[in-house]
Amino acid sequence: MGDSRASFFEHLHPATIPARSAAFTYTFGLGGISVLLVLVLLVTGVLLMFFYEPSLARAYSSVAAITYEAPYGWFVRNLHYWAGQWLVVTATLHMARVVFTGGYKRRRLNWLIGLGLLVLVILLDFTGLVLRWDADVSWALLVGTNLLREVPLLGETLYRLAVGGETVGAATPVRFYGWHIAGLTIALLFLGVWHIWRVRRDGGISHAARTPRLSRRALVRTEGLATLVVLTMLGVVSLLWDAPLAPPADLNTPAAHESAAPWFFLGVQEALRFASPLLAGVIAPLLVLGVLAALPYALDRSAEGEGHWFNAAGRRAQIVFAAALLLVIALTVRGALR
Amino acid sequence: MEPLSRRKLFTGLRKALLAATGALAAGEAAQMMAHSSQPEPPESATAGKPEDYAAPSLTFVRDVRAYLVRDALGFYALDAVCSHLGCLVRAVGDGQNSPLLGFECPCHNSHYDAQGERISGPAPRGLRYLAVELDSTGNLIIHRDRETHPDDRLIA
Amino acid sequence: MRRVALAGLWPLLATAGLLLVVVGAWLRERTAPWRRYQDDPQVRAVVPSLTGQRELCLTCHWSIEEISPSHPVEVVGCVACHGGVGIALDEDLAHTGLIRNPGDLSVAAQTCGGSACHSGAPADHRDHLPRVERSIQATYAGAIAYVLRAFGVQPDSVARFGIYAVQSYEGPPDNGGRPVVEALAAFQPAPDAPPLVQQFAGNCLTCHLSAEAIQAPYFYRATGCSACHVLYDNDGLYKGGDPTLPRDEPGHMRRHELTTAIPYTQCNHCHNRGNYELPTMTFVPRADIPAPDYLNAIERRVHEYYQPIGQFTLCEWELDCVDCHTRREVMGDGYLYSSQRDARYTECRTCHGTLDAPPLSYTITDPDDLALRLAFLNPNLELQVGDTILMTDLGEPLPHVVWRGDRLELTMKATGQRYDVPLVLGSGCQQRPDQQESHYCHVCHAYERE
Repeated sequence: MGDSRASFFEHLHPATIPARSAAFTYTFGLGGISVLLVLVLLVTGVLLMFFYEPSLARAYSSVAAITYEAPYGWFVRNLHYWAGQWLVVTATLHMARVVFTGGYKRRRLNWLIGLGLLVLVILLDFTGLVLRWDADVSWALLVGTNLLREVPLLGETLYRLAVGGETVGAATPVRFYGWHIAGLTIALLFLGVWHIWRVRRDGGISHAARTPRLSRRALVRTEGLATLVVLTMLGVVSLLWDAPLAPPADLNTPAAHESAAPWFFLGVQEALRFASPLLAGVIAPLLVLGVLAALPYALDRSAEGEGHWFNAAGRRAQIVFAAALLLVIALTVRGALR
Repeated sequence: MEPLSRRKLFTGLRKALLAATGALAAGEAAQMMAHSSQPEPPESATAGKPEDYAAPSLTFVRDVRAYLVRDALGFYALDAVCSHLGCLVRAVGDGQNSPLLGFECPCHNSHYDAQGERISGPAPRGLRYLAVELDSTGNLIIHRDRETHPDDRLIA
Repeated sequence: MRRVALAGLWPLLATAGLLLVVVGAWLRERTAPWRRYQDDPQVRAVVPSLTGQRELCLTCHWSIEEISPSHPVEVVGCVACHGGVGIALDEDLAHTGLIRNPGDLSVAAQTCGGSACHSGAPADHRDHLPRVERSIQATYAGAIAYVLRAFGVQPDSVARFGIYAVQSYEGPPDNGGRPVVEALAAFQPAPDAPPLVQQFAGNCLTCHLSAEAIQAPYFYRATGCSACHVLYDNDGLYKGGDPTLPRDEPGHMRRHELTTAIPYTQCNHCHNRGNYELPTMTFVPRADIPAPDYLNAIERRVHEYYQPIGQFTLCEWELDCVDCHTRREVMGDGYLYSSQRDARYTECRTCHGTLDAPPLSYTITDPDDLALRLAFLNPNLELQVGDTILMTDLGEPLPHVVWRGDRLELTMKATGQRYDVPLVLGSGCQQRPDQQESHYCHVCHAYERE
């Protein structure tokens, strides 16, 4: 059959997988797209690292130098920015897909690992945004780090770990840079590899029993096509829409206009308008995470319905998840409409 | 020659386009990586007034990485950058309490005489003779980017 | 069958799409907006020694004129005066916080001001800003006082109001005995003020240094310090080298330059523009300009300089305003005056002397003399230590009027034209020795414009 020795990429996959697992309308490829976006972030991140300087004096000007002076710097920065924002969305949608197809059944540990990955992705997005040190992120930085102080017992320690001092100052960009390129990234890679290995070990993408099989050659081809399509879409968006850059941050002058949290924290910002910082900034997010974590332990322990969209056995879990997701989305939209 | 099948055409085209894309993308990334907005060090610097220097004397001028020598005839400047691989050479003798015997490089042991001529070691050439002038306010100014003749002296 | 036939098409299209993206990046890089202003596009950076911060303004504005020899770009840069985000090459971001006219009095304190610049010590003559803020051109106090008196609101023409509240500054100890005012309150008509007051506010209260110019030929000017020191042509067109400024849009300065060589046309952007009608509280622009085409240059100057029925002597139209009116008169001396007449103290005798005595003068001995600094700023003037120049009654130097032996020579500040100054001493003047004020000279020497 021609060149029948499997390639490197094919060897990364099992010999065959159930054909339905690879169907676009089953998973929408969200997990795979997330992995691709992480790879894009790593490559573009390295290119950015050659120019970014994590100091109070040089952070903003090095981002401006990337955007305006380095050839294609604007393009690499846009790719990095959009891949990062899309990753938050695809990771969340992937989690939703797992809930609604019962993919968490019999895979409770991997569910928790995935939840950890989502938290890391959001923290990576936040630390990355802060690094540009412009007027739009400086207040988010201040509020976000001050919220850490609200955590009972550990607040001050967490603050110092994040900020590197008593207040936001010279050590803070270096800290955030260290977290962004190393601390959080290494944790992401570690959990990410573990997550994918667990999928293999738990029997591949969760599926209904007894379905026809798809060869790994065909699977790799499909993944290759998806890679090209996603990269092209990311490229087109990066060509046409620029990562934001506002005038340089000045934390010693009151902001001239309304300052907004990054979009994925808009819900928290909205909640902070009517609830105390401890409640809105610490307890509520932890509560949501707690409910999500408990999903396969408390809300649906059965194994039936695995691999089917909107399976009946997981109804309770699906409803609770949908409610939590809608609540977060509603708060976010309300915050965005102000 | 059997006619080219559509599949083979598509595959071939796809591979060619992918190669072209990869080459272009690599070129763009290389262009980005080659960029530098680092300010280059200044090509000349002032070194005070002639009266500040005894005759004879030897002074290392940091801002242009050069040795400013004053001998019986006048001022001259030698590039302190070794012509081998760029280390800064040390003076042998300080030019005041002991006579200036020459220069040596701490990295691979090249030796130069007091006029910057190469004596021994892996260095391919002698030290560059840099132009020394007086600027409009009467200060000495050493130019890294202008060389002059070894017999040249600034008399001031 | 269809599936087989199309197999390989989607990957091909997707690859083509990715190739288009990469080519698109190359195209966008090559057509970056800042490249269109230069023939040989490259990023141009300046690191001014005053701030140490990198500025890329000259990438787009690469051929703009240097603002002045005393504000070199290697020292001051652009951002110190104009604000903005200097390290951005995106127009909107770079111009965020931009101050287009740093001379405007509302921002002058942070741009032109500062103790090392133009809000410095009075003894060094570096206190321009506090003086200008109190000058009658900035406060409009005189016109307000006269109108209020004309309508019986106040019993005399002592100024009590200005367009903003301000107090007298510590001016020079001697101002020649001219009456001054301690403080001015802000003149702010209430919304329910009588219609005439509102019309006054709308039509007349808009003629001062902070007011926007009327957008019409002969009226174009900037506000604040730039109202005098940044020249505008009568047609309001830009004639300099900045590639981002349109050449055909009126309302722009002539060139991006500060100057002290100010011709009469600059003063005439406000002065001699027309008359106010008190009964209707309107401004009536003069209708006799531009001068008819058949007039030659000199006739045109006489025609356009002063309004019809103005009375003036020969030197008052041959010379520019700045050749007689001194810095203290025009920019203020820190005191608050109630009228133009009180603010002015130059007389004919300042240059021409009196029947008994030649004009006051002194010899320059100090290399830091104010006269030498003023002459340095003007390319038409050359002075050195040892020259004998005129000074006013209050000791202000006139660096452009110099004794050359027995001859008294005046050099016009704006054009460099030289004149011999005729002296009253030893002339056939028949005026009484105790009546040497300018209005007496005008009786014989002035003539009325047709």
